[in-house]
Amino acid sequence: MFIRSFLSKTNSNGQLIISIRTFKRFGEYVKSYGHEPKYYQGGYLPRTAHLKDPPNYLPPFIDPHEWTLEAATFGQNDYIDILGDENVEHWQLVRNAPFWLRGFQGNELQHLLRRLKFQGKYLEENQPQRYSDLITRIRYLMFKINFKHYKRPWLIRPTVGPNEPLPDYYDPRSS
Amino acid sequence: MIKSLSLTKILRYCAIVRSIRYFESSSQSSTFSPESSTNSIPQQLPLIVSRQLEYPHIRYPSLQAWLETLGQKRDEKLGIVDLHPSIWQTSPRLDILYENIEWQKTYKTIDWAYTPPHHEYPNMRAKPWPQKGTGRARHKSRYGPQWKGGYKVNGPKGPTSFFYVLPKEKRIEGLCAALTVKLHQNDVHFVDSFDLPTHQPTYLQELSEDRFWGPSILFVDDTDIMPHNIMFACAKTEGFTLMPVYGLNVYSILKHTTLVLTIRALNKIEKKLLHALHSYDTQKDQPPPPPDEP
Repeated sequence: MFIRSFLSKTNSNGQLIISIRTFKRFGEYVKSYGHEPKYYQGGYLPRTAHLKDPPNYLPPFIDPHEWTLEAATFGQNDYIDILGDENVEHWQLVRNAPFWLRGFQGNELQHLLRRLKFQGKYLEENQPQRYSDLITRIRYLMFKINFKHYKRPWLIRPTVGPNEPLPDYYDPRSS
Repeated sequence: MIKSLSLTKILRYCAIVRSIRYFESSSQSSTFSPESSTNSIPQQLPLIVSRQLEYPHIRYPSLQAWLETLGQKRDEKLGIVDLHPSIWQTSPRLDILYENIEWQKTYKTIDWAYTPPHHEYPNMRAKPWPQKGTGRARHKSRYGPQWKGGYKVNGPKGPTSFFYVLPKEKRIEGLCAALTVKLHQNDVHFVDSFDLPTHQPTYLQELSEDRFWGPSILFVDDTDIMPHNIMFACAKTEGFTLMPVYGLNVYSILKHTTLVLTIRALNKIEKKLLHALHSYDTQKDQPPPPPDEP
């Protein structure tokens, strides 16, 4: 039921204005213009703990340390060959390398063969698992590069009895 | 030696002119003794007006630069320094600079990343469940690449080294290009010596701020041994680094905004670089490392 009510008011010039308003049942004011938003306009809502919605923090600041002594003097003696002692060689300037990789570059197989050459005897006696892994990987790469696909011949190792001499040549394709 | 600069310009900029002394310094000996210039400027200015250069360039005359001091905060010029155009007026080759920097970054690196292959995993080779019957996928072992915690198929293997040596000619060209680039962008300053009146780091900081010398400065001297005052000041400020001549390199030159050289360092650099530019060592670029130990 619409309730009509009359209102009278005067404007600045003293003229009488009559306006008619209509109301709905629960006090809502009816208009033929405008927009009433039906979404929440109150402000920030509280963050509930039981829902997994943590806030998006900025990433933590990681200090790049650009001007430590090590970073400021990076590459310091790389041109010592020209500007200083001529006898200094660049493989001597690499400090953090394993001893079998000083002044060396190559592919993976070359790295492994060089390691075997330098450290094979020591590993065979003191670290047998590492030695085993090394030679298995070498054999895998050799077969992969040089032969077509067979039934994992790099896992087959030659077996020799206690009193027999070692063979000169072993063909993995025989077994 | 001076062809472009006139005497009036020198008189205008030098505060005190009693008598103009014509210095002819050889490349080996220094122009003046370092003991005399301790915390005070000598009375007779200018100190240097010309410098004798080895292997004079056919086409270009020598460049000129001001000689400054660190002994006082006020920016007074002590004279003029001649520079060799083969080093300080070469083409700014960005590709050579890039190659030098990449070489310096990579030739010392060791990639320690290692992903063990299948045969290095625990020896659980049993089938997790039978081939058929269960409704699950068929698997042979619990450490396949598709499993969580399984091996990686073509991952990095072991410490790998990326060692290589850039040819000597490219390194020399890189040094000359870096120095030209710095000079022609007004980032190189020549100084008589590194003798400071105080050890306070604020002295050097304010001096560099007044002269617009940039946040990071590379001080280059002849030898390793430096005066105590400048050592203390540079240790306490971020961005100031001290270096001898044999430690100079393209990466450091381009990392620091300004470059401050002493006259003795300049003489040594020019001598070494000119000797290298005018010598032929085609076969003996880099001696090979010693033979491999078995």
